[in-house]
Amino acid sequence: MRHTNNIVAKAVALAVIALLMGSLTACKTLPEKERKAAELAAKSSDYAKKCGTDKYMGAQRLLKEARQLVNDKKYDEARITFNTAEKLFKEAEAEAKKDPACNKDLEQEEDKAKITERDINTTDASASTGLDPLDDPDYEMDRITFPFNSSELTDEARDTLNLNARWLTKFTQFKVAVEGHCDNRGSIEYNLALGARRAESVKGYLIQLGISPDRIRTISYGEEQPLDEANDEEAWAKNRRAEFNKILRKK
Amino acid sequence: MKNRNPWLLAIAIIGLSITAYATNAWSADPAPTATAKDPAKGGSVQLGGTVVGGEFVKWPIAITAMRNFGQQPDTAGLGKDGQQILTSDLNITGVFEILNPKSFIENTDTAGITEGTINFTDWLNIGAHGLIKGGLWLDGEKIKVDLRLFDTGLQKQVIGKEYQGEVSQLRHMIHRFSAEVLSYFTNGRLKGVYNTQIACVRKNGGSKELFIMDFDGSGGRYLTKNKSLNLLPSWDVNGKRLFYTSYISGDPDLYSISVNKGGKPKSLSSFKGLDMGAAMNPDGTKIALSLTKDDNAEIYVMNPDGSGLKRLTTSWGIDISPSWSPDGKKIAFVSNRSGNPHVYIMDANGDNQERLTFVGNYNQSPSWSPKGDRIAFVGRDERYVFDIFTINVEDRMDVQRLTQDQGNNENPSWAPDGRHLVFSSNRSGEYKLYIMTHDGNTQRRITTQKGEFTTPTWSPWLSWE
Repeated sequence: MRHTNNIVAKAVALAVIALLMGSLTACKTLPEKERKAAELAAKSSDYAKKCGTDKYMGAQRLLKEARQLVNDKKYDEARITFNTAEKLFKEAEAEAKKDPACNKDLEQEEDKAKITERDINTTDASASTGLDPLDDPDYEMDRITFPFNSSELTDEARDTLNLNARWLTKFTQFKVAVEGHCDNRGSIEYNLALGARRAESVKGYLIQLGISPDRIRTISYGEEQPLDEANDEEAWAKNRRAEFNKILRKK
Repeated sequence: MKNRNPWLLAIAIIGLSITAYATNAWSADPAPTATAKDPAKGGSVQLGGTVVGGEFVKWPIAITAMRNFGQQPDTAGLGKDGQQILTSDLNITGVFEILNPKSFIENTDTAGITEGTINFTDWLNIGAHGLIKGGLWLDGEKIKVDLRLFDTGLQKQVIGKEYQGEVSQLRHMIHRFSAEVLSYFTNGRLKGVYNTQIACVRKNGGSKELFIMDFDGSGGRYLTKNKSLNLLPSWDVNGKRLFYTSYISGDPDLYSISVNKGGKPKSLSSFKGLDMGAAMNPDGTKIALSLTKDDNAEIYVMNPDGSGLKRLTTSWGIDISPSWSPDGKKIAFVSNRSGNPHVYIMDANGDNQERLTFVGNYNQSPSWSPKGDRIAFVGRDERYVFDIFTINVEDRMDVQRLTQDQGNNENPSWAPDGRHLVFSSNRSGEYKLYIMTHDGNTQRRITTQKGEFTTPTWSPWLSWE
């Protein structure tokens, strides 16, 4: 364990050096690509997470720092910190997989993990990184799903929208694009109209929760962008959805 | 039978109406009735292409390979190609029975193609009412074709045509001759769909592009290649431009694009939200469309230049998919105002909106036939399978099922002759385009390429040139 502590220390030192170098170049774009890569690496580090290795914890700290840097608009520094966190997550996971002590209790769960893999990929990053969405400007708002041929909001959908609305209330620098989607049954034209209705139904609810209409844009993709291309109930249920894309407002 | 399931009821009604339908099947379609020309006038053979005792009898016709009379050898086998194209062309009409060449008595490799050289008894003996023969002459990339139709009952040549052009135009020449043959046998009532095209959407990776082809699937090409989503094409009345919805600007807006010249698409309407489903009225003075700018999807009409926008529907539900009646006085559309989507009709100014379909609980994609008597639509049956139906606009209990037990069948679009429909079906595992006659017969696949083909739309009659 002491050995891994050293590695974390080295990695942090590297990150600090990199930060100093990075600050020399001015770049104003959001480090979205780096953030997503780091979050993906975090989500894929099941063994390390379960085992709670020092390296994993270090990577978590870096990820949190990087998000704070984005919040402070220090994008270049955030970019490098995300990169370092990603690297560290991957190392931590690789090491944890080799470590018999870490492997033990996960082996039985591996099959289960495979089955639910699609679900893991669709859960938001903060759930696995343990951050409260309301403290996290990088929180990706959860999608919601709809019943067949319906634009009505289920209780579960309302719960999710309540959280999304609270997040939008706190982070006013963002607008949101609400995308309406459908499963592939029925005509393309009808599904475009239904997707529009789903997006409008979400917009209406967000307005009720106090979000200003001018912060909400809606667009329908009908059945054109399925999450799951399969033709079964499970895929259809997943594809009947609304998605939320945050857009940084122009000053 | 309990009436709990509306589809069972519908099927029962269809079953009943088929008996009634068979006897007047062709009355809605005046072409090949007993009033049509008897091809064997004066001959002793039975009436062809007529309804005899409730059963439709097709005209038997023999088609020989074109003989090469030129100096240049026909190494590409164009003579056989011609025979195949003619066979395909006349088959899809649904009014001919193409005789098997194996039954031919005459040696067609050596026999002449002129009236005086033909022994008509050889053809009457195998039951042929018509006989098509042809010759070809090659000169580099140029070709001359001589095509002749003989009426075996009259024992004489009734049509003779000569075509010249590039070898690549051979298919086109044969289409023109097929139109002549069909016209002869139907006394000019049918002219075929040989000078028509079909536009559709072809999936290409993550994008969808407009794609266009001849009525038989040949000569396919992309009309757009912008890697965006380009959806729901429909023709203008002249067959010169296609209307479609594209996400190219990020928002789904309506555009039009020239079919032959290509060039930059023109913006047709770009309101906030969806702009889709443009349908031009038969005299080309109005465009009906669906917009979500004021509410959930509603139907509007406007002038072709985008001015004079007027809202026609105001229901709480979705109102989409306008399709004009051929006289331009009415519009069929889809509404879910009753809960589930159904086909409705209204006057062209939005008055008198009424529900048309009461069978099933999920009906979409209406296409008003060019004859005006029926509307094709897609219905979902009790097994949740989508199939194509037609409904009689006057007698709404008269519903005919055109597809069954072959995957999902969607997006019907009428050919301008009112005798054919194109549709998309996933019966092969992936959505491809198929054509069939108006009664569901002679279904055939016309797209063989890779990728999904959806939302076909059949052009109006185009000029031959």
